[in-house]
Amino acid sequence: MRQVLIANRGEIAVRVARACKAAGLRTTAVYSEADRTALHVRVADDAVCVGPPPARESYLDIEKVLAAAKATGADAIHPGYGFLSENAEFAEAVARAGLTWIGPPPAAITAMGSKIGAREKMVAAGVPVVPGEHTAGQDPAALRAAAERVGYPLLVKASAGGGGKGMRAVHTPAELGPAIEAAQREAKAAFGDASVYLERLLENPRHIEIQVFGDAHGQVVHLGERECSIQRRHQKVVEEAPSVALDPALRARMGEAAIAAARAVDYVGAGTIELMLDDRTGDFYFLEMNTRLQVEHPVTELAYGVDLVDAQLRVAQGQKLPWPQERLVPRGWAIEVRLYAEDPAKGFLPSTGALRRFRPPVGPGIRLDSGYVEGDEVPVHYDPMLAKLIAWGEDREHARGRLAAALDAWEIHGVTTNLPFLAAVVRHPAFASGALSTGFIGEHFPDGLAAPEPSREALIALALADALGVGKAGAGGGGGAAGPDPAAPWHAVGAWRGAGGPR
Amino acid sequence: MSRHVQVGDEVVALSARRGASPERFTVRLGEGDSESVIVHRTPDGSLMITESSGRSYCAAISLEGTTAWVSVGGVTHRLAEAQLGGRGGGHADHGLEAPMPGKVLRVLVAPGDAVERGQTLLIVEAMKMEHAIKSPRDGRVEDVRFAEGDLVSPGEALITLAPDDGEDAA
Repeated sequence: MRQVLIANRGEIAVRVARACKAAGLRTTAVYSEADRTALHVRVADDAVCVGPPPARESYLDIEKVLAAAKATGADAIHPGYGFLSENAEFAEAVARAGLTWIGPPPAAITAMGSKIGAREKMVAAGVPVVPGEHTAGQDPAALRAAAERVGYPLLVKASAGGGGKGMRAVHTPAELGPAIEAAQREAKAAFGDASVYLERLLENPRHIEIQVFGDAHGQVVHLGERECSIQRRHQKVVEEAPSVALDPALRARMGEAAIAAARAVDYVGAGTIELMLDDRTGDFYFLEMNTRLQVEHPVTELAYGVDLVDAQLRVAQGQKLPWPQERLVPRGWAIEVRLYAEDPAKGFLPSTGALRRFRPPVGPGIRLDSGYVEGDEVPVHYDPMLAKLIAWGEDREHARGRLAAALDAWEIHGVTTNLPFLAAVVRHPAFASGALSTGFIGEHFPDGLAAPEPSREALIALALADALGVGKAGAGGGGGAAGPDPAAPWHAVGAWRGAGGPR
Repeated sequence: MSRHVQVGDEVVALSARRGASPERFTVRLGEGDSESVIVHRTPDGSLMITESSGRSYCAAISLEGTTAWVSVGGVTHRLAEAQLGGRGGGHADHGLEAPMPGKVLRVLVAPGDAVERGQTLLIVEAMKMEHAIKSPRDGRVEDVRFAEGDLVSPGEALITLAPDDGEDAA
């Protein structure tokens, strides 16, 4: 393996490129016309445009991605998460083209990609599953009848789904029809497959997932749990490792179940077993397996001191896993928040724009995985997640304190984000106490988070900015351009002259 | 030049006047509130501000049209130019505007339809998620300006409701 094509964009493409560089591998980026100057393109050794902005015509176009690999001499493909990462057809096409697929065997993707087939395999392997109806078909009447058998409340879920897309919660029979229609439309748009199924909605379970890793030599290990209970519309917002809900005994039990699930499909590479945990009883249920690297993989990396992408590169080249199970013991605590371009004061509506100022925090135990840098435009065509901020600490409180302080220090202008909401969640007493559930945001932030009233300091600063001409785009103000305009009025400010003039 | 921003229920006029030396300013925050400050500009484009009490803080400001972004004390504020004449004026808003750039997925009403507060009028898709545009009040649809499949920009009026009789003006 010499050069890896990364079939993705945003923060994950940047993160994978970093791991490749660290391993001495060259990288090829692919990009749509909306991403010509995106960070993931800038950090790559080679880059190929694969089409117009809509993902279906660019990032999801298998032929164009393979052609890009050929054109740049890439001999391996890393799919990241989302897009083509769980597309078995793509994995097979990569192998047919004589390239190394940095992911699980296509048969394992297929087995777990059909949520229905996966469920049957889990039952056979002795892994507990959530009650549901997976074989009702797509006919509205049949789905209605199935809904009666599953019972309310229930979830309508996309068979090809993930990330909360094509998923709807239904509390009464009257809501079922519109929910199915909306879920099918969203699933069709997101995955090209409109099929949905029904599953019992567990009230306020914990969302726990177990990281597993297999190699081609028959070894499968688990790297403990991630708690992903803080979600909004089934989109994860905060994740952590380990979880306050697990003790070493429960961790070992869930880890064994996860390894059994992975072995049932002869899994190789990084994968995640998602489980619902009823923390009053210690009962847990298999939800699904994600046959890819997860968005939230960094919390596992920090808690276990590993590099999962580096391990993916090694395993794809036929090497053995770098860690035996007995060496995998968590140390300290890691918490991740996802920065979304969305407005918590307006029902979390997505926002776009240019990141006029984007100054992420740095400090001990702080990691930023970002797909954007200052000045970048946030395009409307893709997922609104801009970056992830992860804090590690000696214990949960230490990590939480570091994360809260880092969020306060993060300056973002030009695009409305959920940054203040993230800080409020991390500081919430219920979060501090570890009382997490998937109902957390609905319960504690039913109306999102109102924009703060401007402080006196903010008003003073704004009046001064107007008087000094500071902060205009391209004027060397808030935009961060280095050189001051000698004609600008603030040049008269005493301190500036003292700083040694233009640099 | 002065700028007007909304603070709670009030519109506050902001201005700053240069004082005896280039780094000294007197800032006015509306009627009767003023503060003498010393300002230094940091190399990264922020302002280091010292009030007469000696209290100091650093603020980063970006201006975008009439909107200002101000980060100070660990909080970022987005300050829009206030509508002179108070908040009430814009609020009775009969038009329904696109909240973000996207595509009209479904149009569920036609001109002349009676609609109820909270009723979904239109579904817009943006960033791979669907968003329901709901009626802010009971009323009658006057005009539907887009068809399914049309692209919309933020702030564009999607639908107008006929002016109401005034009993529901809030």
